[in-house]
Amino acid sequence: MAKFRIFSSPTNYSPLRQLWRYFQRNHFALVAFWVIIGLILISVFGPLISPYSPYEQHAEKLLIPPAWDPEGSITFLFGTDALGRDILSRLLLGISFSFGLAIIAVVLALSIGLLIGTLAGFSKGVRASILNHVLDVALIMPSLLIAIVIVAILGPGIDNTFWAVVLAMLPQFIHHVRTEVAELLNKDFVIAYRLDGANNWQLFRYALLPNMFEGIVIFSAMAMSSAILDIVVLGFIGLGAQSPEPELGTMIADSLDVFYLSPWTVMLPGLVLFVCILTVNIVGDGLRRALKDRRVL
Amino acid sequence: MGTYLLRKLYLLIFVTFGVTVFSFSLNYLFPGDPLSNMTGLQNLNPEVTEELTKLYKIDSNVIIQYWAYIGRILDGNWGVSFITETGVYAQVFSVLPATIELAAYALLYSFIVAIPLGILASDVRKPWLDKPILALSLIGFSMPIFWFALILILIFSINLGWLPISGRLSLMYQVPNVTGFILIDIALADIPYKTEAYYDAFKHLAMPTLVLAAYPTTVLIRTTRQAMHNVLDTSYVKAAKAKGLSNFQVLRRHALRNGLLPVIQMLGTHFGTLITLAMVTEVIFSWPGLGSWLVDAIHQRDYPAIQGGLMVMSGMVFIATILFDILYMAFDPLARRRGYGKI
Repeated sequence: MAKFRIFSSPTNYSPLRQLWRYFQRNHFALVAFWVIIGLILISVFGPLISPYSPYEQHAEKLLIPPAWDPEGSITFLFGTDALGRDILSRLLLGISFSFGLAIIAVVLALSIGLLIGTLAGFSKGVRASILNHVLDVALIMPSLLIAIVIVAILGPGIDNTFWAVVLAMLPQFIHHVRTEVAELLNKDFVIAYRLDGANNWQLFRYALLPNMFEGIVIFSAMAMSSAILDIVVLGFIGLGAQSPEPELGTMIADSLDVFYLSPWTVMLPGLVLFVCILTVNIVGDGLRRALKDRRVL
Repeated sequence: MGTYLLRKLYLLIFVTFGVTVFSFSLNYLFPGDPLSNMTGLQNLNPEVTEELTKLYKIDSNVIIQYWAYIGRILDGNWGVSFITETGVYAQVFSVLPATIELAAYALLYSFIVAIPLGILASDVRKPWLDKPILALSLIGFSMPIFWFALILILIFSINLGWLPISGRLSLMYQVPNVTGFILIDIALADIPYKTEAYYDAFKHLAMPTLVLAAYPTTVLIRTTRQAMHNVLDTSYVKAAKAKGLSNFQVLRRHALRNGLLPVIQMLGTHFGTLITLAMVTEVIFSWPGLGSWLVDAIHQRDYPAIQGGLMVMSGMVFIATILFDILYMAFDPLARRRGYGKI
C-alpha cells in the first residue's frame, strides 16, 4: 500500500459512512454482509414461507433423506427427522430462534450497556473505582459461564436463555462504552464543547455518540457471534430451549440418537449454524480491518 | 514489580470475596429452602432443622451467616449432593483433574500447531501462505464446537472405527485412581499391560483434545501472526538483519522472545473461554470431568453440587487469569512501566 497520497483531499463524510466505504472494498465481507441481511429477512419472514408447521409430525414419513438423495422426496426438501417433522420448516424457524434472538439480545445489551457505560464514564472517584472492580470480576468470567449460572438459577427455557445471554454480555458492553467515554472526555474538542456551555446530554448526543458509534458497531458484530454461540450451546447441553422448540442447538441434541442412522438431521442444522456464525465473524473482521485502514489514512 | 504484585494480591482478595459472596447468595437465589440448599439434606425433621439452624446460624443476620459459610468452606464441609448424598467437596476434587488434564493437553496441542502456523502466516515474503492460514483460522473460530465434535465422531468413530467415542479409558484396563490424571495414574499403577493402557488412553484423548484445541489454536494463530508482524517491523530486528544474522537467528534471538509475549496475555484472557468449552467437550465425549458433572447437577437441580462446582470453576478461572497476568508482567518489563495492568 502506498504510504502517501499525492492528491489528498479532506473527507467530510461521517465516520460511519467512511467505514462503510472501506468495508465495501473487501468483497468477501460484503458478500457475508448480504448473507446476514438474508438471514435477518429469514428470521423475520421464515415462518411465512415454511411449507409445513415446524411442530407437525408426519407419522408415516419418518427419517426421509434430503431431496438430493435418491431415496429422498421433493415434498420434504431437507428430509424429515425422527418424529417426521419437516427439517426445512424447522430450520427456518430455528434461524429466527438462534440468529434473530441473538440480534435482539445484542441490541438490548447494547442499549443498556450504552446507558450504564456512559453514566459510569462520567462518574469519578469512589463510585468509578467500585464499578471498576465489579467490572474486573465480571469480565474475567466468560460469558457462557455467566449464562450457565443464570440459567441454573432461573431454570431452563428459551426466554430464560435470552435473558441470560443479555446479562452475560452486559459487562463487556459497559466496559467498552465506559473506556471509550472516559477516553473521549479528555479530548480537546469535547472540552471545548463543554466550555461552550453544553450540558451532559448535549455532550453525549453531539460529541460522544457520533465518535463512539463506529466502535460500537464493530464491537456489537464481535459480540453477536458469541451471543449466537451461547444460545446454541445452552440449547445443545439441554439448558436452553427445550425439546419441541426448533432452536438449532436443541435440534442437533434431539437428533443425536438417530445420528448414526441419518446424519443429515445433525449436519443440516449444524451447517446453517456454521453459516450464521461464519458470516457474522467475516463481517466483524471486515469491519475491524476497515476501521484500521481508515485510521491509517 | 512489588507494588504490582501487591495490587494483584488485592485484586485476588477482592475476587475471592466476590466469588464466595456470590456462591453464598446462590443458597437464597435457588428455589427451595436455603437450609437444605446449604446442607444438601432434604425433608428434615424439626429437631434436626433446629440443630442445623443453630449450627449454620440461619436465624442470625446475613453477615454472620456468611462468616459461618466461609468457615465451612475452609473446613471442606460443602454440604452433600441431593442425588448421590455424598460430600460435594470430595466429588468436585475427584472430577477436577480430568478437566485440567484435558485443557492442558489441548493447550499444548494448540501451541505446537498454532505458533509455527502463525509465524508462517506473518512471513511477508510468502504472501500466498497468509490468506489460507487466516481463512482456516476464521473457519475454525466459527465452527460450533459440538458440531465439529460430531463431524469428527462421524468420520473417525462411525465410518472408520478408529477412535472410541466416550470416556477416558477402556473398561478392560483397571487403573487405580491416585492423582486423577489418567496418564500419571497409568505410570504409577503396578500393572503388566502398561503400554496397551497408554495406547488406549491416547486413543481416548485424541478426539476431545482436537475438538477443544480448535478454539485456542485459531486465536493463537491470529495473536502470533499479529505479534510477529509488529516485532518484525521494529528497528531492532532491522538492525539485527543489517548485522548479517540469518532469518532463523533473528527469529530465535529477537523475534520469538518478543513476539510470544502477547501470547501469554492471550492465554490469560481466553482461559475462561477454554474452560467453558472444555465443559461442552466433556458433555459430548462423556469425559468424567468437572464440566459434565456440573451440567448433570444442573439437570438434576442438585443445588449444593451446582454451588460447589461453580465456585471451583470460577475460582480456577480467576486464579489462572491473575497468574497469567503476573507471568506476563514478569516477562515484559515494558508492560510493567505502563503502570496499571488491566485484566
